Amino acid sequence: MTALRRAASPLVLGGGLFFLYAPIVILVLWSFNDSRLVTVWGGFSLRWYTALFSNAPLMEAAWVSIRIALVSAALATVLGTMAALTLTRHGRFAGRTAFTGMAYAPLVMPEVMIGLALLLLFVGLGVDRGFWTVVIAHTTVSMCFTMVIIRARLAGFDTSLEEAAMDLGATPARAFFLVTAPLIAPSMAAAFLLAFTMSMDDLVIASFVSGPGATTLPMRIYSQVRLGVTPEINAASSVLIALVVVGLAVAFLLMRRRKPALR
Amino acid sequence: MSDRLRGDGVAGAARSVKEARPAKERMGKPGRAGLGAVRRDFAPWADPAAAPVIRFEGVCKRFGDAVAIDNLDLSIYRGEFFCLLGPSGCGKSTLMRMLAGFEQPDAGRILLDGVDQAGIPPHSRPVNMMFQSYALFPHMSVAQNIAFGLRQLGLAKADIQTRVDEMLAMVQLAPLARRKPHQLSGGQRQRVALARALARRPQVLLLDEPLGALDRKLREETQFELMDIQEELGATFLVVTHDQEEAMVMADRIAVMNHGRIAQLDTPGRIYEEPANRYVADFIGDVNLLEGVAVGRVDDLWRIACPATGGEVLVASDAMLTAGQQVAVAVRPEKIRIDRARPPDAVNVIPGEVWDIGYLGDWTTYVLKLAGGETLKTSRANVSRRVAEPVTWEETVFASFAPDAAVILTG
Repeated sequence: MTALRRAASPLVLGGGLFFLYAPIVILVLWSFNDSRLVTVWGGFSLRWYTALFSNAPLMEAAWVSIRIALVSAALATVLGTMAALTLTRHGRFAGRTAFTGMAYAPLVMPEVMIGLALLLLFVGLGVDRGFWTVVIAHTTVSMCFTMVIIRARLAGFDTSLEEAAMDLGATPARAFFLVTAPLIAPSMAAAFLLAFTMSMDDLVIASFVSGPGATTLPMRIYSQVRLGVTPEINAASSVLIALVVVGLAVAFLLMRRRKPALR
Repeated sequence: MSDRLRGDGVAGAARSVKEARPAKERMGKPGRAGLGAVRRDFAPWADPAAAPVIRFEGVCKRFGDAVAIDNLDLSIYRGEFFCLLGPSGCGKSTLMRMLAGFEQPDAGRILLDGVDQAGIPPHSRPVNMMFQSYALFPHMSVAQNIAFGLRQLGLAKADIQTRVDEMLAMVQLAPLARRKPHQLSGGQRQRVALARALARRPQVLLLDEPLGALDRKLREETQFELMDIQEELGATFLVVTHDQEEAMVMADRIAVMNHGRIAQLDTPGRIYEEPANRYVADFIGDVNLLEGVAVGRVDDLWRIACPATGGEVLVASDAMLTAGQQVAVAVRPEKIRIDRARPPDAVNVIPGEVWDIGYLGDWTTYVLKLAGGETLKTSRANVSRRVAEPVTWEETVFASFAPDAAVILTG
């Protein structure tokens, strides 16, 4: 029984990993295919990457995506920090439970619902859809993730550090910027990167709230694939995957990094 | 008498620790009418013209249903080394945090130098605090930690540097100025915290369990260092501690706290030798509390009928008692002597059986079982290394104490 289990466990693990990552590996491998045909291996080549960088609409979409991701991640980090501070430092206040629930809601809300709801809101308000509507939508969703990360850090934070700063003559704002912020900076950076990658790979919400001139990279890839998969798309996807993997890895390392003796 | 020697012993130890620096007032004139240790001729609280630097007036504080501070009045004077002493949860930390501005009183006023502190935020108060956890900023070096408060004052860079160097020299940490807190030992961190809190030259320094995290040896050394620094700066130190030894050694005055009230406010000597009530007698040091009833007065002695001793004891006291009043006779173990034979000239003699012996090296404590089943604790200094026939278990001995060794407690 144990022998069977010992033999089976790498198999199961391998099967699981294969199921999860084989499609991605295949996609990356095919992006180096020299052939124009997606299903025939024609030797190693970087030609699709070259083609990718000369594909103006695709490049433009990538640039839009990066700008949206940067702005929304920055906003989400600031708002998430403020929400986390409110929840960890201000004890009880009227509406605390409601605030907590609402701040966490996007974590479990289906993306389609959020996209649709925001679309209705923007239409109702008569807001022209475009760059900023996508930024707002992405900020809304990723803010709860940044709040969760930063709140975890603040919960394990010795509040007497802030008190000491104020006792030594720092106003509450200065105490935050001189003491609290430097100490939670790794978590804020991790939160920023997470928000950035979430924005970069979002297709559903962007499809609802984006407008002319604000086509994101995932939207562009999706629309091109509908006309047929080209090796160029494989290359674009590979670049996107690399970006997200690096972002998440750095975020993970930042979150894991523990300052020695935080007390 | 041993109680008087106790004080000299403490001061003597201070001298031996800091041989290089002649201690000043502390070694000076002997106290006028003090009991126990009198460190120096310093008693502003006895001077009706003196204005207190800290004043609590009818201060109340509750947390939910729990009363932390109960209508408390307290005056602390300039240059005083003041200890708030009590078990955890007695409100001593709350009192300090209210002074620092981290908590607001529900009622009453807190005055600093005559100025009502209500509505003044922590960063604008002329007090600094040394935190129990030290609360050193982990991302700053030792020098940056000490400079933090000075930077908030907006001083010139050169002035800050000078003051930081001064502080580093005072706590003897100059070689470690560039280290980060996590690279320091517990004792070094404690000194950084002290230097940081003193850098702004506060009128009042608040110290929350300043020695709590240090081991015993270091704690004893640091006590005397703190006293020296306080004397040198002439600042007012307010220490919160649950460690009575710490309070006894360092403080000019001690406020023993219980459930948000001050149980007794006095010099260490009087707190020890003249406790105001059972709570204080029991909290400070070891004590035998013999419950009894006042019988009558003979000259300046009160006759107290104590069932535990199987008779009456005589206690020198000017307490105003009425015959039949329920009282307690408090006797410290070191003030009770024990003999094998009944001492002929002794007044209060209580026979008992040795029930337990605790050997502490410098002292040995004997727990006697009395006829009525109660126990009596006595202790004896081990003045010689060898004793021919030591008192041993189950031996019958005679405990005795002088009438002025005991105190009558009514509260």
